[in-house]
Amino acid sequence: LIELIGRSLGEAAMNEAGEEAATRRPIAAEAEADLLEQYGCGPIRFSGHQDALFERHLLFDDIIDPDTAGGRERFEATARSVRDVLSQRWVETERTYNRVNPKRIYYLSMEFLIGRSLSNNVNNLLLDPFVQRAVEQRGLDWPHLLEREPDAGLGNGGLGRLAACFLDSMATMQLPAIGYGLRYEYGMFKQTIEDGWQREYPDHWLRRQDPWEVLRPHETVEVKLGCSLEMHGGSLRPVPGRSSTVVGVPFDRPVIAYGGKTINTLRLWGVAAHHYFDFQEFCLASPCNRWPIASPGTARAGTTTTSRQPGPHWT
Amino acid sequence: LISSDYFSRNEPGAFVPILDALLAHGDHYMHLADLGSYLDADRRLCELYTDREGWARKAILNVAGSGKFSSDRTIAQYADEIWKAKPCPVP
Repeated sequence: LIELIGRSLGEAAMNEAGEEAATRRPIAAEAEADLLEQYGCGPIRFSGHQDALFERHLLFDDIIDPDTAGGRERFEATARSVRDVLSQRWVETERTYNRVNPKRIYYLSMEFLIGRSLSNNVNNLLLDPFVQRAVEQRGLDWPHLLEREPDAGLGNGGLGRLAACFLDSMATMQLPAIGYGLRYEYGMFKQTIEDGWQREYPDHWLRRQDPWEVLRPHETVEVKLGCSLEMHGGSLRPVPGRSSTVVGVPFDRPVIAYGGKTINTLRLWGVAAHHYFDFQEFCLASPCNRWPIASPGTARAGTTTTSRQPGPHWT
Repeated sequence: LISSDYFSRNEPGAFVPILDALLAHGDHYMHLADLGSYLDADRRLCELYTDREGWARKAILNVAGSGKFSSDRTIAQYADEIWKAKPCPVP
């Protein structure tokens, strides 16, 4: 246990140190062009023009004047632009694996403590000069913009951070690996102390659409259960003897090697109900329950991945 | 401090069950067994902290010695010895 905690803390510290060094490394203009070519982008501009990625995302995704964009919109447009740059390399990585057919690594974990992705992805893709220019051109407050990204509520301790470090390392070592986990919608709880006691509030980190994840609706998987699940007084209870089906919906996130040569995948599974057979029941049972945005399903089916309880650390 | 409710002023006696388990019911899980050596180490740590150079030296050696815990090294070893997986570079 102690070895694992020590290991993950050591790795977190080392990662931070490596990222700082990378931030200060200047890259010449031709190296920038080479970089874009490596990502298969062609002569595309990151920002500073009405046809550049950043401005286009603000205009076409949000239908707003780029000059009046708020903090969250600017974060989303930056993240989407970064994702645009890596998309072709991401597809190329998968295409290479399918062609070469190497032995693959499947890393399953209940948690991936990935934190915020924007600065990590910019650093690993060596996109700092592009971002710096965007900051100058658009007068962005970069640290403030980074703060607009919610912490991914996908893990809470050493085990999750170790899994995230391992994914990063597998990509950097060019290993054909994929991470599998669950897409907790409410993530960890928000902790407050009231009268000396802890009170938990839900942390809905996916309230706004996450700019990194890619929904793969055609790769949903049916999972047949030997029971049904019902909500009673706020907790989920299995009802034996009545079988049911839930649908696993995969969401992919890029895992970028340092240097951006390999882009692996972290596939997180959300849960939806089997078509709409009990939509009515759902509405009757909990009229104030919001229709989940990204994974249409009933409250019952959605509960499996709704939150990650802060149980004991399984390290 | 604990028994005088220093940490539980708004709720006197909140930690009595913990005290009882440790002091009255024989400390079944031996939480206090290494308290003495823990305090010894804490004392040495405080002494070292007053010695700026000695502290800096140990801190630097500690960081330098953590290289082995790099996840790149760990993954390379797993891939090589356990998974028998090879890199698949993307052209």
